[in-house]
Amino acid sequence: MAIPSDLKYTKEHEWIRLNGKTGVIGITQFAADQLGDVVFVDLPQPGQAVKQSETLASIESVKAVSDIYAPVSGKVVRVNSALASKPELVNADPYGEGWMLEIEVSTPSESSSLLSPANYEAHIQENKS
Amino acid sequence: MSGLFHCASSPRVERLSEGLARRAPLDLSVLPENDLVRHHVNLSRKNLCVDSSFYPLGSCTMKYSPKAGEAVAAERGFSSAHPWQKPEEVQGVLHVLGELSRDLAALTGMDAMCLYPAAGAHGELCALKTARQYFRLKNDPNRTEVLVPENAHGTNPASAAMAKLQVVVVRMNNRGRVDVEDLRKKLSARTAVLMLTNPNTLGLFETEIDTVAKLVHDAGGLLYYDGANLNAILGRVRPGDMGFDMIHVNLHKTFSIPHGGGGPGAGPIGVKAHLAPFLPGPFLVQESNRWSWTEADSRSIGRFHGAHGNFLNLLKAWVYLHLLGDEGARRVSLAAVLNANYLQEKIKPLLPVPYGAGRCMHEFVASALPLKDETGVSAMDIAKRILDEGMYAPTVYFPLLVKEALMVEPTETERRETLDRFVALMRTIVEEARTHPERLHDAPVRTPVGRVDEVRAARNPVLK
Amino acid sequence: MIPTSSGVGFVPHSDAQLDAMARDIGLARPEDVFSEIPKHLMAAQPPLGRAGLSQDDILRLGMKAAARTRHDRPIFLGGGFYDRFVPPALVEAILRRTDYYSAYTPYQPEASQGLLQGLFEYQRGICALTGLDVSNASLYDGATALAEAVLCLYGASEHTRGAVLVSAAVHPHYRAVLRTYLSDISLDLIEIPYCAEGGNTLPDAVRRARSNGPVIAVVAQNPNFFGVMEDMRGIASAAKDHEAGMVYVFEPTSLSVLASPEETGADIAVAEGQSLGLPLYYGGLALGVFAAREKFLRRLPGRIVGKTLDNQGREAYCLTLQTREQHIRREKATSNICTNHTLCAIYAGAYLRLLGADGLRSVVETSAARMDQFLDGLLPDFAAPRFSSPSLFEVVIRSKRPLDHLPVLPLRSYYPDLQDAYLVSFTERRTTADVMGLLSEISRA
Repeated sequence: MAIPSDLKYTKEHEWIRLNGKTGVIGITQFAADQLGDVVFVDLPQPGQAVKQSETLASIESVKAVSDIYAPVSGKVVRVNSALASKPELVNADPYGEGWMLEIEVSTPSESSSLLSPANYEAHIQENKS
Repeated sequence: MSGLFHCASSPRVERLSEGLARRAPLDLSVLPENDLVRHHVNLSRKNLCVDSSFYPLGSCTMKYSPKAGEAVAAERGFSSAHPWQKPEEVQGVLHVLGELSRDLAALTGMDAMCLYPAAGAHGELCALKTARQYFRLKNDPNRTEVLVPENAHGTNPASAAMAKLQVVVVRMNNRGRVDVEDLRKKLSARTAVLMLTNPNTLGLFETEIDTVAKLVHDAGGLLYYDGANLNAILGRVRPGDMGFDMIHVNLHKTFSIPHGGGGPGAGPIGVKAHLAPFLPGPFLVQESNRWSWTEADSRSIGRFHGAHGNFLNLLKAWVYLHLLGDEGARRVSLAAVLNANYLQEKIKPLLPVPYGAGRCMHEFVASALPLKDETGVSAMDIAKRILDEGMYAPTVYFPLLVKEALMVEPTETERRETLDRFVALMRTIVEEARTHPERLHDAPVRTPVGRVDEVRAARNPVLK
Repeated sequence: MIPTSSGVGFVPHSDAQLDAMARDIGLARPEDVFSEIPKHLMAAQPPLGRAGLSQDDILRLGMKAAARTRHDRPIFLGGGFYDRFVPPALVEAILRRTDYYSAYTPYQPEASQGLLQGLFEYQRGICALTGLDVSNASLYDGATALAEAVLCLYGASEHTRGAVLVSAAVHPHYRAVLRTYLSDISLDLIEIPYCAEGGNTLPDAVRRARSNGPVIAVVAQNPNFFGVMEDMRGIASAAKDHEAGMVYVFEPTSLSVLASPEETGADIAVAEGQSLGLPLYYGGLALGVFAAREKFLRRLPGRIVGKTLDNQGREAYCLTLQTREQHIRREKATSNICTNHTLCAIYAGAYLRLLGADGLRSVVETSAARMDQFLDGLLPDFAAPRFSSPSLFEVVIRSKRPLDHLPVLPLRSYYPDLQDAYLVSFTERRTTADVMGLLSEISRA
């Protein structure tokens, strides 16, 4: 299972690619596989402000809904509009074309609470057993 | 025009003003009567139904619906009764409603019934709003929490949310019953109602119901009985005697009225006397052998249906209860529970029943998890394969407490031979999972269509 | 003694068979299946206190009860439920067709294609009729459909509190049910009085209405409860001024001649579908019709059927967009509804296909023609229309003498200002002779 080394993770299976003041957010391969075929991604409007751990978006398969929580506080600056017609990108390429949104990070110190790739992998193993 | 009725024309319609008249074209894909009848007869054949097939769909109680109900419903005095006819012109209709109320109250141990709710979920909302009103008028408005066990039907939390009540989930213990210690922790001065299905959604009787009832009442809350599984205890145990204050019953389950392919149903609610004034009005009353409607006072939550509920279905339940009598009612629960236990014991060697150590009630939940780990065949694959043999499938993936769940409810109206046929089929399927798993992944192949692409339907909705 | 072929309680087993099954699974006797139930909970006495009847008996009893319904004279009752012609073809091919009525919700689409396609055709018919983009697969009845429509607009808005403006000419029961549904929610229900002279709802009255919070929804009915045709375009435009959603309560056949909800600018349209040729059954074979614009698709209450393909590439149908629903989203669901009115919906869809636009228009025209005859023959010495605005096929009259003994609907219990008023409704089943009979009864009152 792919867990790219340049990303930070949450226990709720979001990833964030921090890049200076902004961060791109998506869900992990593990989460996408658990959910099955993604049929709809409900994304917020750019401009919306969120606090860490608040619901940011939701993602749906035929028989399940998962909330996406904000890994860090910030303001949404961009969403992946391709997901409206091609939600399957989340399954096919969760760390690439299946990204969900970009936020402007308001409290950079919060990123210290995120999981490293190794810690995230350990978290998944723990959940499996 | 087909000559369905004698036609006349009206200048009023021809001269409708620009602003009022329809300009948009109206294409309704007309078919001549003959072709329309053929179309629907052919469509209807593309369904499995109780009258064609064994239908062990757990939690849905797909029992045989006596045809006497259909015969009585065909009476013109019922089919042509207008809802605003004066009570003296529909005394037979009101008599049926009055008797049904009394019978349902007697069977459930309640003091007052309300027949308006059109379905179980409608009844749940009605009952929760009634409870809320009760607390509001008792000057105890901060009771806004509804406790539901974690394996409750999804309607319970959805109904609570519609009544603007907060859902608090109560854990189940390892015996598949409400965890009394967890319940104790979650009860408080904010508790309005505990909603409980008994037998619960695992098909198990909540044996500690006395303790549960006492705890809820001591905390000042009300105990609500979700009647989805009433069939298991019909005529034997009354929710009112178990301490429940309110109840909804699904007439399309326990009381045998046909499901209509998903409705219309009927979900009457019942309450103990202290809650009766808060029920929706108007109320049906009988004075010196004459039935009539009387408006509720301001304590009532108000109207809950545009007319008087789904009378057609209430009528069929009235017929059913007259056919049953006390002996029939007890026979129903006995055979429903015996059939389920018989099936459970026969299925156990094939698929584990995680909470099946003791007696189940009207249904049980088997798990395909070990089989899936071994062969890759899922509960859904099994369900689809059953369809190929002309039987309907058990409920799959509910309740969530059991992984790869197959929830089986045979009901009382099935012969032992039918149950044995189902067991034989399950044996074949489990063997096939090991020898020809692709046969299960590919199933069904003998139904009108093969496995339907639900992902495609959800990604690109085509809805008309 | 009941012949064993059906069995007591429709249980096919004999006592000996029950015993044998019990022994087979290691129980001494059948009743031991209840061994886990605490003994003291077992009912002390038989709850019903009576024995079962034979089928012959209950048929006789049913016939006796049915005979107590008065139907020796034509009725002029409407108000949401109409004595329409019930096509025998649809009764035989749908209502009494066991392959439809004894099935359950189509959760296994491969074994339920007929129900699903029937519902899909209903959705298509309702979309055509209303002009709106999406229809669900039905709700319970017109009144609860209205409540769901308001909750849908509320859920779709970003407001947590606000107001709903409802015309007082909307069916009184619909308003009452809406009030009940909103009673625990932070939405104020504000009634917009109807015009005392015209009996219609004035768009300006809607526009001028003031509320404490934002207006979430405006609700009007056309033809309204008095049978009067409303200026729905004007009302929808007033709703727009409030930045509110517009709910159009309609009578289905009327949309063959009246501007569709889409044309008038409505966001959601709801109706009681019984008037699509369903038998009356005391208002108990109801059908909640619900259609909306595309933007509300993911907030729709209830089931929706979609068209897709099977694994062989063949056309197939299934329930779709289920993540809105209670069994998945639980307390965050758009509604708690699960069981809907499938059988009635399939019937209504077929009624639309049997009659078509021309047939529906004939229903409306014939009903209107009977009302024309009635109004032409109404003598001012006895009674006269109460309102000046035109009706379609129902009219309110003011009578000098009480008409409560006639099959028309007194309005005084709903509207204290309409003490001497009656709603007189006409359908395509009424004949010229029926109308003449009513006129002569009124003059004799």
